Amino acid sequence: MISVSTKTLLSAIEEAKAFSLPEMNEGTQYLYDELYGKVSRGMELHLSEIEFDRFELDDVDMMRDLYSDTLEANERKVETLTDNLMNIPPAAVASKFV
Amino acid sequence: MSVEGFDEIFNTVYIAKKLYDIGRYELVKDSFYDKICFDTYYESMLCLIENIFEHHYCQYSDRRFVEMRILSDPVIEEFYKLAGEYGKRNNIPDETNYYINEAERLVRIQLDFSYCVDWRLMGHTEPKRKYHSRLAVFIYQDDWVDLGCLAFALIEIYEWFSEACVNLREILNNAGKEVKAA
Repeated sequence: MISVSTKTLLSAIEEAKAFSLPEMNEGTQYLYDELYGKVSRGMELHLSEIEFDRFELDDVDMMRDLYSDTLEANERKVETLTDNLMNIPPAAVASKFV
Repeated sequence: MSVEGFDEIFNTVYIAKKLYDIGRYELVKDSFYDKICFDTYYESMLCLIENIFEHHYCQYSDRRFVEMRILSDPVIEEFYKLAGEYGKRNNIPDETNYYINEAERLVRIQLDFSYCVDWRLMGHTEPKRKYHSRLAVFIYQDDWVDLGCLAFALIEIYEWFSEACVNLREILNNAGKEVKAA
């Protein structure tokens, strides 16, 4: 059986609270969900699939700001968090009831 | 892990949206691949730059490491004819013609975004040949120029000339009506 330090695990999970997104208008939300959502998962994005009536030019600027101010930093945090979780050392314990 | 090519992908979306808004989405279909991909970004932007204006001529100087692009369109030609007509009616020489100077100012605002880009606007109120009024854009190869920025600037310039033609036509028509009424 492998167990981990609860304290270290909790502190890693605590870090995840920082991953909150700012409020977005409908246009930016569309770009975030339909466009960023695809490219961030490595999926293909096609111009013919974009509904240009659902956002304004300013929304693209907001999406760029969101990426540079929040999303890019969050991606780095996720990487750190993943590393932390993967590197939590296992602790050998023996349960009394076994 | 950041999204690979985020800037290029969203620059493409931005330009496509701009062209959609001004009713020239056919340029997107003619210039861009349907699949938005950052490694075809420069190819797509080059193609778009060649398609925005009706007339496009490109020459590269090996000696000076500069690419020269000559751009012209009926909206530029008509603008200068109308601006000239406005000047004639109001006894204003080309040098102090508000509309001609505004065109120069607009192009300066749009194209002064990089020290590697230079330009010259050659407008003729009495053109001698087709595409006589034209815009020359010089791209120096000393450094990197974002062709997406250049393409967007050229779209803005096209849009400005197009709207200026509508405004000038209206001004000249209204002035004609006023003269008739008098």
